[in-house]
Amino acid sequence: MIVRVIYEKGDKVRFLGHLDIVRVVQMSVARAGWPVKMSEGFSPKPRMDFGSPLPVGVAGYEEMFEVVLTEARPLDWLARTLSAQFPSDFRIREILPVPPGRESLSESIVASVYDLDLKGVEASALSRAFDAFMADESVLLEITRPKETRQVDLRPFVLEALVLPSTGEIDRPAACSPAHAGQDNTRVLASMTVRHDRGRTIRPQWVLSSLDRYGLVLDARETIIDRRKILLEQH
Amino acid sequence: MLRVNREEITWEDLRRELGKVEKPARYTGGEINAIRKDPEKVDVRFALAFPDVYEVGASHLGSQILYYVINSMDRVACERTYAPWKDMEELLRRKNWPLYTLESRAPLYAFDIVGFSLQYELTYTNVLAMLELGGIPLRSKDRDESHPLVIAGGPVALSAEPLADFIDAFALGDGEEVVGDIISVYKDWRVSGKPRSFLLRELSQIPGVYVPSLYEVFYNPDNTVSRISPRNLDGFSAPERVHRRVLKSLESAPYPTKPLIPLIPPIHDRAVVEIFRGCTQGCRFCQAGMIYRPVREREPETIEKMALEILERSGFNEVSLVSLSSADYTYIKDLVSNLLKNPCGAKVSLPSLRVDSFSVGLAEMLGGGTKSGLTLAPEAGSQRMRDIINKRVTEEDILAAAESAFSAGYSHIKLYFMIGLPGETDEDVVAIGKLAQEIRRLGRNMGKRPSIVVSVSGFVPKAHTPFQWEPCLRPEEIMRRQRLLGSVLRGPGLEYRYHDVRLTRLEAVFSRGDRRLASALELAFKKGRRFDAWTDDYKQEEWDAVFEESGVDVDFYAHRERSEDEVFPWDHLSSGVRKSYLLRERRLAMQEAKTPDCRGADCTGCGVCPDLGVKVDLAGRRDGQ
Repeated sequence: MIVRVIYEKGDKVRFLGHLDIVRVVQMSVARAGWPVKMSEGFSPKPRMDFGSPLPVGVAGYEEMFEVVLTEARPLDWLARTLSAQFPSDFRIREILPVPPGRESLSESIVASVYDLDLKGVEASALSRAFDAFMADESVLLEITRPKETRQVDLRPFVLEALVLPSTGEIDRPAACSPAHAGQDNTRVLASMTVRHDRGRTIRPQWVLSSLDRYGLVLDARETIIDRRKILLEQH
Repeated sequence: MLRVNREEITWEDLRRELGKVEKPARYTGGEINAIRKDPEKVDVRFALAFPDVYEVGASHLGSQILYYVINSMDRVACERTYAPWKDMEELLRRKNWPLYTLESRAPLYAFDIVGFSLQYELTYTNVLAMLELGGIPLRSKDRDESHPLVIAGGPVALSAEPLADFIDAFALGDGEEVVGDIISVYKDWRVSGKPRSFLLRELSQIPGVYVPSLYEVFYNPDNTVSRISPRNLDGFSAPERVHRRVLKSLESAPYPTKPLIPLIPPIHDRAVVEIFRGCTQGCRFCQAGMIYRPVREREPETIEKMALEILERSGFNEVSLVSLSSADYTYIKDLVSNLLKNPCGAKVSLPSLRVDSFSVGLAEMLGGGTKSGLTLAPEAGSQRMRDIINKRVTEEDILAAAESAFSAGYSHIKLYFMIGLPGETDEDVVAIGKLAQEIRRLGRNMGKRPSIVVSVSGFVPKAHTPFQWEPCLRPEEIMRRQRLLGSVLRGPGLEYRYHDVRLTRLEAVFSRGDRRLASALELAFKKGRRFDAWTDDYKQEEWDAVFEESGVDVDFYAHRERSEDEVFPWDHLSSGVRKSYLLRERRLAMQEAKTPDCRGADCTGCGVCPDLGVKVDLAGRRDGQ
């Protein structure tokens, strides 16, 4: 039996990296007593697929992983046992059976929708920068990693970048919404839809960092970013 | 009389800033099994402060035990804080935020008691940084009734005179019991409304608690200590000597079977059960082997039960059976084979194996298919040196261990040695290389392609050991011997690693220092020294300037042989092992004579059992059995 767990990586655990999430989820599933199928070979690992990694600092409202079980269990039992073992600010939203023979989770992801909560910028300035970004054909950015520096063209990955009308009015999941949104007029909420291309995608933070070429300088690290949704290929 | 428990830093502020520091999850808490009590419903708030980075502190067993013990107390809350890495310290300073605990994000200064865990001398500058960042006056004399009581425990507390001016009270020995006594004296004092000086006096009456400000140190013209006496304060004086607290039995000691599980992997990312405390192998360089006596074992059934409980409740896939020498445990083979049948399918691991075939046999049992590597610690290369340090293994033992390892399928062997031990000659140094060569030859003759890593550290003499009188070699001399060894460690399949001599020297200064080093520590802290044990970050010039400016003679502390009648800065602190025994052991070392382990043989007369009213407590051999 393969199940897909849709869960929330909440606000308070946003600073966990992807490998931390994998470790925490694997340990939670072990504590929950799920009969997880182990991989073959020298050092067996639980057979789990974590779809699309979230970077450190980004929370997610509808994150997913899939796990192969050695024997079937009722979905409500799975939900109950895992809920009891998830650390605080991890929440199960739904558990679904996965029909056999379909593509791997990571390959069926087509896009991610992010909420951005920026501080110290004006909505109009951000809006102009987004428009300029979208009007460009190509937006190259150097990404520096510990071992390599590479150039990425951000533009083709961004399907949509919008400034939202005003704070407090959009329908945001409670756990992902900013704690004190409302009166602050230097605070802007935005939304960004980013494409996944066979596992490859970009981070919204990179897009924000690239906006200096359109006259908008901001410290992208101070932006609160949440992934609202993961869009899967429809069959 | 609760203090204000205002959250100084809101989550909204924090989450906008933490993206700028490395590994921000070090500073956000929320761990599995973390305990957050309502501050309104407790009388005493205790902050456990670990002066090293989160990943080191979060899995530290002693802290886990204390966190559990203190939080088990009614109306007492224990929270945790760790040394912020430099980027986080910079952030705290820039935003003018205090160092806070992970559970309630309350500033350190709002706590009643702040307790530091001292595992290593090179964390001292971090202790000062945490006090200052936590809004607590650095020096004990500058604190008043509005400030937390600052205490410290851990192995280093028995010789932490360099911290004497900064710590209000040290807890010596096993912390499980003494911490309760400290909290209860604190509670009574607070109700009494008496001045802080009264609290310190009351604390000094608890067995195992050392209040440094109640003692005066007198010095000889040659700068050595002439005597350390309790001050006379209107007829009151603290005890002449403070004896280490010792749990009589580990079997009945509290143990966290719902351990705190960090959300980012700590350095020891596995379940842990302490199978015994204390070690009586009697290695003469080893401080832990002296200051944790006697051996006290848990029963195998208790260990199995604990291990299974922790595995089930944690989701770890490995359980480590820890102690100072786990292969010595009375029922080790049975214990390991029973535990390997655990229903969680978890691996079993043993740290600190002995160098013999028995231990390698154990390692083989544990192997579980993955023959990655085996670590052995002969400590010295020649038989003469091993006799001097009382490491009672012969060359035959070592080669037999290596042979068993090769035939069990291991090809990667890591060997630990020290150089600069008392009485060491160039021949002894070269013998390390020869031994490694011999092991490689053995492996090749068995048709393997062995890879041998030789890891060598510089010997640092430690307080409360038979070698406390010995000098630490100067950096130039250690480097000469490192090079000498390097010249005989060439060839394929041999890898040579050695420690930074500058750290060896720094550790040597502080591990046998006195309270006059306080000004050097404070200066180093003010100059920005932190995380001194992290080599990447070590700045030789900064420490040289510190010692120069504060008038500290490094030779005096680190490189001088001390006379047999010298009074040491820690002589008023008793580990239970008598100084006369340590001296006898030192003389035996010079004669290259061995002393047996008292675990199975007769008493060797160290003094711990009669003086502290305890005894060796082995599993299955208790009274009435």
